[in-house]
Amino acid sequence: MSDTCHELLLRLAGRLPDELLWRYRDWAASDAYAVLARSLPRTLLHGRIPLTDHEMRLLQDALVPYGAEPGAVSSVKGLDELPPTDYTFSPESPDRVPMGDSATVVLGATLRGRHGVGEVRSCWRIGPSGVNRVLLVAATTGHARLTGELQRVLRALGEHDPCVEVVPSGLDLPPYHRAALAASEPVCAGAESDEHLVLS
Amino acid sequence: MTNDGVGLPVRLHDLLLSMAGRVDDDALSLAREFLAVGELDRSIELLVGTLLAGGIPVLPDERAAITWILHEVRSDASLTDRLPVVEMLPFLRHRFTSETDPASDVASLLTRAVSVLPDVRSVRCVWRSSPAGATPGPLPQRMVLVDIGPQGFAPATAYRVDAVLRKAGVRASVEVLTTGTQLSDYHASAVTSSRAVPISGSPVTPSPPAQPAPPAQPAMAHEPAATWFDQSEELPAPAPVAEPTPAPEPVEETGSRRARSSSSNLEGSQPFPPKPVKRIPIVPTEAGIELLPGPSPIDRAEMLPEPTPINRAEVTTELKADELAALQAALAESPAEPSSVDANLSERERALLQQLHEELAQREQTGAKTTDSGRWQIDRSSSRQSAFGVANNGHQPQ
Repeated sequence: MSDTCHELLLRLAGRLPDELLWRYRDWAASDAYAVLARSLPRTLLHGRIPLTDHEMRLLQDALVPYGAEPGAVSSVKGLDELPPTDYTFSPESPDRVPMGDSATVVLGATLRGRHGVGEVRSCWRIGPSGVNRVLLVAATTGHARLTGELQRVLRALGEHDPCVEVVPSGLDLPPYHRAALAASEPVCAGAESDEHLVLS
Repeated sequence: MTNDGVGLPVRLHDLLLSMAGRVDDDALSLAREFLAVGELDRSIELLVGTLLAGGIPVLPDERAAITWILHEVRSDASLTDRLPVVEMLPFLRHRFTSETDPASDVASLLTRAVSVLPDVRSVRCVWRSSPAGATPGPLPQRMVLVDIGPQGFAPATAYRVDAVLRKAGVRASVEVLTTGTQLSDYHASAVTSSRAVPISGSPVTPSPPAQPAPPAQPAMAHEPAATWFDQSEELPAPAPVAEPTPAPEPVEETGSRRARSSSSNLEGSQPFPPKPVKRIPIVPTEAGIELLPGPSPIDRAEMLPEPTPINRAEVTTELKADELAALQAALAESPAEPSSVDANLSERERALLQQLHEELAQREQTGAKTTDSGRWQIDRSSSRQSAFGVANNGHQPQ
């Protein structure tokens, strides 16, 4: 169940407002599915955010058992295919002077050699809301909890709306993540050194 | 709790206020935005999700309040079942200081933000340092405390002020407090260390005006305790409600002076000049309404109560003493026979005078009862209160 919900929230990157998306992922990491089941469908409806058929099935499977209203879930708009992302990505932040990146240092120390974690990469996203760091992590297990943990680390380091994308093995990457991965640079590698982020 | 529905936004605002210092600023800001735009269900569900995910404990009556609001917005009241409930909240220490002026670079922003909001009494700023990791971003963090009167609307004020600051790239925790309500320990500490922001017409007091809340008893906004601005004993008489507030004005300019300087442009486009709002003692008489008998207009002006500069709108439209005396002297005469004072008046003043006569004549004709309140005001408080359901914005009377 948590994998289903995690995949749905992963696919919504760049489509839901950052300030809500990281919080929904935090709720999923904390098993607060009941409130997520009420809040997420309403946000999708309010923002007229469409889902593909696959994402719609994820929404139903993940949240209807926790109390999401089937009527509200069914009202979410459909989408044939995910369009290219509106964001651009860069390996370097365009508005920061070259200096030590404390967040990368902390994340490297936290994730290096960690069990269940593979390749860790980072890039910068440029969009209407400004410049945000995007962290890409390949992981084999505990995706939701790892996401929640890394989000909280980044929050403590000063990111208000952290963008942490923990990618399960074998996932067909959405356009947003493909674009981010293409512009990313390696940070470190966990214990699962064979687990790489792959552009599909 | 009553099920009147109309007080629900205010109760939800009070609940969010009681969570300040425990729930992160971003969550409170977003919940207040949802509240201000009428999405109460999203607001309360965001709060519940944040409490659940953070394992943030609540008091039993807080959980009851959350359950009630969830029920009122037709959400799932059982969401509160997993909330950790404690009899006494853990102590989370925040340190407040204003040694370096926390308002120095945002005063103009705040002045502009509150200029369009009703019944803003004061704005204060303070720096807050929280335990490491509790809030994102560098420390200390700016906190903005806005005090509003009963005519103000707390959710809208919080949302608008926060939006203006964010648009300017300023992150701050905006807390809107209503005059006469209890302060939590968190807010009392913040107010005590805060520094006033000189918005138009508001007093700039060097010392903080609030009473601290009783120690070691955090909480709910409806418990009687310390009040905002020491007015549990003597609530000020209802603040005169001005006609629609003109554009924001510099502190040093009075409304009348500004109106006069710009009257040549405005009078051509407006059907009538802006109405002055001022304190003039009036009594009903058989012949209608006339000014209180007194020795002289100047003496009368001196007898006027010192205007309490609590309402920005009132201050900006207040007439100066000499102008007041001139108008009073003119009013004592028949409008058909301009007095010497009237003869000396400018066209603008004559227009104001004419406006006053028309108002008085209209009130006489409609037989409206006037009270000896020592002021002449246009009071919309009844309509506002009915809109909000209860007096004092839904707060318990002190």
